Order: sequence, then C-alpha cells, then structure tokens
Amino acid sequence: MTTALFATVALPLLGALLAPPLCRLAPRHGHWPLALVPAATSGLLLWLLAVAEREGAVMAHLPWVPSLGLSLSLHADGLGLLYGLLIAGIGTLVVIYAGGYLAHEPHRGRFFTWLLLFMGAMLGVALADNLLLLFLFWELTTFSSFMLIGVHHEEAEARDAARHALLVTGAGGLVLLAGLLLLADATGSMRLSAIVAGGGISDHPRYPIILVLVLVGAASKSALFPFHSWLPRAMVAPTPVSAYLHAATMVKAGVYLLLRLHPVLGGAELWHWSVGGVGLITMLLGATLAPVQVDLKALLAYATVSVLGLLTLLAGIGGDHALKAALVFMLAHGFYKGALFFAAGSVDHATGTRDVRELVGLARLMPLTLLGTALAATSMAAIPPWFGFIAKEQALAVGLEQSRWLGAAVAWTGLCFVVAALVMAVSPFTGRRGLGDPQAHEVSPGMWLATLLLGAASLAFGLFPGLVAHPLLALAAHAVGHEGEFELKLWHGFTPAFWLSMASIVLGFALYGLRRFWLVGLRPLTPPVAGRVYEALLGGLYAVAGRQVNLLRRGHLAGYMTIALAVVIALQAWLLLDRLDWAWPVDPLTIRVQDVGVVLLVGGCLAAVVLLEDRLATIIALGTTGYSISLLYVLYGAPDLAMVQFLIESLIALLFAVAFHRLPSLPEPDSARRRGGHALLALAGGAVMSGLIWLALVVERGERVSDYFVQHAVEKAHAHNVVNAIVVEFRALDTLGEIAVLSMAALGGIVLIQEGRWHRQRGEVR
Amino acid sequence: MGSVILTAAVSRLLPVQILFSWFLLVRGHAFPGGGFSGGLVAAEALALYAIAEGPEACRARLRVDPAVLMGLGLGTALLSGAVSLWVGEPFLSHPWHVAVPVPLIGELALGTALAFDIGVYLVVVGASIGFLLNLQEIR
Repeated sequence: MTTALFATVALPLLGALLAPPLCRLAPRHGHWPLALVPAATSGLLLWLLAVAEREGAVMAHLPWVPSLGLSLSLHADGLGLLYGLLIAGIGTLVVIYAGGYLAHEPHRGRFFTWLLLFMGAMLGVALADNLLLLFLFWELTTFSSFMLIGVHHEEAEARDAARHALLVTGAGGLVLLAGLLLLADATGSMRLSAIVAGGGISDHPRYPIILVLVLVGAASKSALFPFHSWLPRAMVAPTPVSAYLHAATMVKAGVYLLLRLHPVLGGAELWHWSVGGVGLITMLLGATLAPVQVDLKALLAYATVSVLGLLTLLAGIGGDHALKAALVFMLAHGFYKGALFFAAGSVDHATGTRDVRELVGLARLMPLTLLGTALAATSMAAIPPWFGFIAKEQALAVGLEQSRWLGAAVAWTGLCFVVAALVMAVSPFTGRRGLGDPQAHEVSPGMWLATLLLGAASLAFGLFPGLVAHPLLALAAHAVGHEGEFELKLWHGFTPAFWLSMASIVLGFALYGLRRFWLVGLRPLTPPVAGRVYEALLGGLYAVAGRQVNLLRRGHLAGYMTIALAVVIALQAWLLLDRLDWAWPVDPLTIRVQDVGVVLLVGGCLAAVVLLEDRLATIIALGTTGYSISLLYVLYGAPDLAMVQFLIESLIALLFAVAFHRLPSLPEPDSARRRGGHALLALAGGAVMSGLIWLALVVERGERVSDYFVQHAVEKAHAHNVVNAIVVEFRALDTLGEIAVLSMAALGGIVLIQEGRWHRQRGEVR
Repeated sequence: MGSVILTAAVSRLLPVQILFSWFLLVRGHAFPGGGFSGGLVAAEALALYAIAEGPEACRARLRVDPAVLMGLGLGTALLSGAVSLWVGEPFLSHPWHVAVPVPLIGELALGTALAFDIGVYLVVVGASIGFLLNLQEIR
C-alpha cells in the first residue's frame, strides 16, 4: 500500500522522462501511451480511496534528511485524495487534448515532460505529509509552470508572462516557507497530519504572523487579490496548460493549503476577517471583470480568479456548511472550467482567434465542441440539474447564513458567471456567418472528446451527486474538520438560496439578452491587463540592478580579478586578525637541505614570472613554479598531491598554449602605478595566505581530522590510499559538488566562447 | 601546429596514455592515482592530440561530445551514490567493496566507490577537453 502511495507521485515523474523519446518515436500518437500514466495514477488513487474508506488514511514514510526534519512522507486522506483525483483525472484528459492541440508543435516532447513533471509535483503537494516536502513540491509546481507558460519562449509576451508568474508565485512560496517553519516551531512537528490532529493554535503568540505568512503564500499561488494579476497574463500559455494549471489544479493549491490548515489556523476572528476578506474582494473583482473581457481565455481566467476568491471566502467562513460548499464548488469548478478552457482552445485552434467580437456562427462547423461547451457552460451558469447548480446553491446558502449582504455578493458573482457562460457558449456559436468571418473546422477527436467528457461529468455528477458524495467528498470534508453527517442532494426544496439562485439565472439571461446596450459599451473601458504595480516594482528592480552592474562592470578582465581578489584577501585578513596570536608553532617543521633547495627553486621561478615581459615566457615560468612546488610534496611523502599538482600545471600550460594565439596583443605595457597596485595586492595575498598557514600550525584543538582519516581509511573505506579515501568516501559529497562546479564552469566557458563566435559572425566584434 | 615529430608521436602515444589513465583510475583506491589524476592524464593526452592534429580530428577520435561526457560523469557519480539508498544507508556511503587481486595493477577495488571515481574521471576529461576544443575552434 505504501508502494502504491509512492507510485502515485513517482509515475508521472517517470512519465516525464519517457515523454521525449515517445514523442520522437511516434510524433503524432505519442500522447496516447503517455495518457496511460495519469490514468494509471487515477486508478491507484481510486484504490487508495477505497482503502482509506475501510481502514483510514494511508501513510507512507521514508527518511530523507532527518537532521533537517525532511522526510519523504505521504499521507492519503480524504482531502489529499480528492485533490489528487482532480489532478490525475483531469490530467489524463489534458494529455489527450494536448496531443491534438499541439499536433504541429516542434517541442512536443519537452512540453509533455514539463506537463508530467508538473503533474507529479502537484500530486506531491496534494499528498505530502511533511511541511518541507510540501514546500519542495510547491516550488516544483512553480518552476514547471514557469516552463509551461513559457513553452513558446521565442515570443517576448510568453517570456514576460512566465517571469511574472514565476516571480509572484516564487516569492509567495518563500513567504510560505517562513510561515511553515514558524508553524512547525509552534506545533513542534514537521508532520502535517500530526499538526492537523493537534488542533487549533490560535492562542499561540506567533499565530497572527503564521496566519499572514501562510495566507500570502496561498494568495500568490491562487491568484488572490492583490496577487491576482499574473493569472490573466499567463493565458499566453498553450490552452492545455491554461486548462490544467490555471483552472483545475495549480491555482487551487493555495485554497487547498488553507483548507488543509483550517483545523489548525481556522476558527479565530483574525482568520475570518483576513482569509474571508481577501476571498470576498477577489471574488467580486474577478466576477465583475469576467463578462466584459473580449478574449475568451481572459474571460475564463477572471472567472477562475473569482471562483478562487469564493473558495477562499468559504474557507474563511469555516464551519460544516461552508467547508462542504467549498469542496463541492472546487470539484464542480474543476470539471466545467477545464472543459470551457478546452473549448476556448479548440475555437482558437480552429479559427485562429479568441476574440468574441470576431467569432460567429461556429455551431454548424464545430458541433461536437459546441456540445461539450454547452454542457460545461450550463454547469457554470448553475442551471439545475447540473453539478454547478448544487455547488452554487450550497455557496448561496452559506452566504445567506452569514448575512444578507454576503448572500447578495455571492448572488452577484453567480449572476456574472451566468453572463460570462453565455458569452462563452452562445456568442461564438450563433449568428449568421459572413464572408469575412474566420474559417473553421471541427477539431481532432482527442480534443472534442476531452471537452465532451468533462462537460458530461458536470451533468452526470449533478444528476447523481451520490457518485462523488461518498466516500470521496465525505472523507475530504472529514479531513478539513467537517463534523456532522455528510450528505449531498440535488434538490433541497424551495429554500431562499434556491430562489436567489433562480433569480440570478433569470437576471443573467436578461442582461445577456440586452448586452448590446451595456456590454458592447463597457468593453473598451476594461484595462488591458491588471498588474501595473507589478510592472512598476519590476522596473524599479531593474533600475537598481542596472545601477549596481554599472558600478561594478568595467569591461576589463584585470579589473574584475582585482575586485575579486581584493574582496577575498580583505575577508581573510579580517578573519585572520581576529584570531591570530603570535605564538611559535607547537610542532615546528624540521628544515632540511633539500627543502631549502626547493624553496630557492620556487623563488627563482616566481621572480621569473614577475620580471619576464613576454607572455609565453611568463606562462612557462608559472608552470615551472608549479612543478617545483610538486617537488615539495614529493619530499614530504605525498605522491598523490605531487602527481595531481604536476598534471594540473601541465594542463594549464596546454590550455594557455591554445589560448595564447587567440588572445589580443597587449596594447601597451602597464603603467608603473598600476603595476605597483598589483604588486601590493599580490603581497597582501601572500601575507594573508602565510598567516593562514601559520594559524593552522599554531591552533591545535583536540583531535585532528586528518588523523581520523589516516586511522580509518582501511577499516571504513577499504582504501590504502588515504587521499583517495577522502575524495571518494569520507568527503564524497564535497567531490560531487566539485565535479558539478567543474562541469558548470566548463559549460559556462564554452558558452562564453561560442557567444563570442556568434557575435563575430554577425560582425559585432567586441 | 604542424610539427611532424609531434604529430607522429602523438597518434602513437595516445592509446598508451589513455591506457595509463585507466591504470591510474582503477588502482586509485590502494595506490597513488584515482579518477582525478587519471582524468587529467587522459585530458592531457587528448589535448596534445588536439594540438597536433586539430580539434576536428580530436572530436572524431573521441566520438562523444565532451559535454555528454560531463553529463555521463555527473550521472554516474550521482547514481553510484544513490545505490546505497537502496540498502538503507545514507547517500554516497558506498556499501560494497570487493578487492580483486589483478596482476600489474595490484588490487582492483570493485564497488560503487570505483563507479564514483569513474564519474569524476569522465567529468574531468569532458570539462577540460570541451573547454580546450572550443578555445581551439575560435576563428
């Protein structure tokens, strides 16, 4: 069972590795086998759900970095499974849809890699039981969504939108990390399930700051006010990405987190006002801006922002009814919004535009897409017996329970959704086609099938709410602190909420019918994209960075070396002066004749390095200095070091020999003043290094680590060569880091060289 | 460089030098040597070859892109460290060690530590040669 739990997260990650070769082998149909990955994950999750119903939540635990409290712990309770099923289930359809949508995309393999990586990370967020692990997966979704939004990185707009999303959600993620660490400190546990079981901490002195930090993290991810502006901008992403990340899954992560932590942080006055307030503002803002958009995807994006606000508002209200409404709405929204994004993408794909003002009369040309759109839009408009109706009625009832005004706010949101749904589902498909209207055709089977399936689910779960009520929603509700009996019905009788719901539908239809009197006039007034504040902040950041770069950048290699060396020397000198005492070393070195000889040799070579004018001669002299130093190692019985020193010097000489021809000739000999400065720097460096060695000889604190290595090399590492034992066994992690740095440095150098070549080819010699 | 002596010597020396680098690599656990020194020897052999015969000839002789060598090396080192996770030991703890006596080399230490050293070797060769060849290809 634990294996199955790990497999749910591991399967998509493995699929991510398989995607590029599969797409290369079968360019047109590679996505069908890939869709099996999320399908299998969904199957596993369903099985885990059955197990969880019988035996309680499934846990899996594997230590990772115990010293940091980080472990690979997963926890499949009701909420995690609900969210996970949403991710994997819709993910299956997204993969199928994307196969058709990106049929002519050259980077399909890369796209599917990021998509499946994202899916794995998302499942990790849903199922993680360790706070640090949750954060890691959280950041991984940020990163993979950055790559997905910027899939068409040749376009400046896509790059800007991807960076916007990365900066906002990434910064929010860091704030969240601070909140999670404080939470772990306050509760004394890194395990999410233990923290939730421990109950509320609202009387803890740090409670307000934890709440604010977590809320900021959640708000940045879920595009809540004031961080909402990245979401409409991210609509430049390919539509499968919008449907998946920006409607069904990733943007719900913030809401998920708030629901997850509701038993811990919820209930207090501060929670009500802050979470509920943010939710309310976001809900009204998104809902009001949605119908007036002319871009179909922007319209859906603002509606999504509004739903996220509503879900946050419900989480802020708390209590059995609100939590239940939030979960139901989360599920309903996942279905209908996914389908509507699919439909918007299909229309875009078939006609080449998403502008409502240009789209007309597509019904006959795209009948299957229309059917899927209609099924989903009806759910969005909350018309009975669709699932959206149940969700909206629940939300309205909760709003009315709180106050009349809150009920009215929810009803206004519903009204805006009705208009938006009609704009989406009626306007592009009806009307008489003229000659100048965009051409269109029905999209490929995978695309309309995915739309249709999600749309049909919106209807099926409305007719038979029992399908999802038990055990899925009931277990999820239990996990977020829902205490009473859980039941879900289509028909609750003629309640005030029902009448309010009907009234908003009728008024919505009426407003849509009269759209030419108000909507057409309002459209030009909408701001293009919100987020002026973001632009201003980014501009400020660039200005500061530019000033700083101009301060440090001289375009002169020797200048950089001077700065770097001076900083290093100054720091070391500061450390050195802090702890230097002028004692004689405990075990003074015995000085032999041959040592004196080698030192004289090194000194002579160094003098040559300083005095020689010719470049090649200087390099040779530098090499001989190194060779002489390796002689010292030989004398002191360190053949390994001697060998490495010797080899390194040879390699440097070879590299210089090659680079030598390609260096520009020196314009003129350095001025005496500059040489003096360099000499001063060199002397200071030498003095600091001598001081450090002196310190190493003087300071004796307990056992030396080198003694340990010498004593344990054979026994622990089976190595007779101590140096090798240190490199590959005792300090293997350091070595791994070093070879990684070496690779990066070499790649960086190669890129610089090739960049220079590229500029030269274009005639921009630098 | 166009020196006949260098050209003639280098193409005959290269196999011997590479063989020597492997010798250094595999005996590193018990005697002076190891992945780093072995990699440096191989890198210098290839560098000499590139200087004598030109970068294209060196690339042809290598067959593999140096960047791929780096990636392979990093991957090998990582995987060799991850093996120990399988048996529940911490990352990079190299749980197995089999010493096989081999003539000429002395003792061959088979195990994940050797795989790690091979990774180091590949990275050193790939990084140095990749950089050098690119330097040479500047026109």
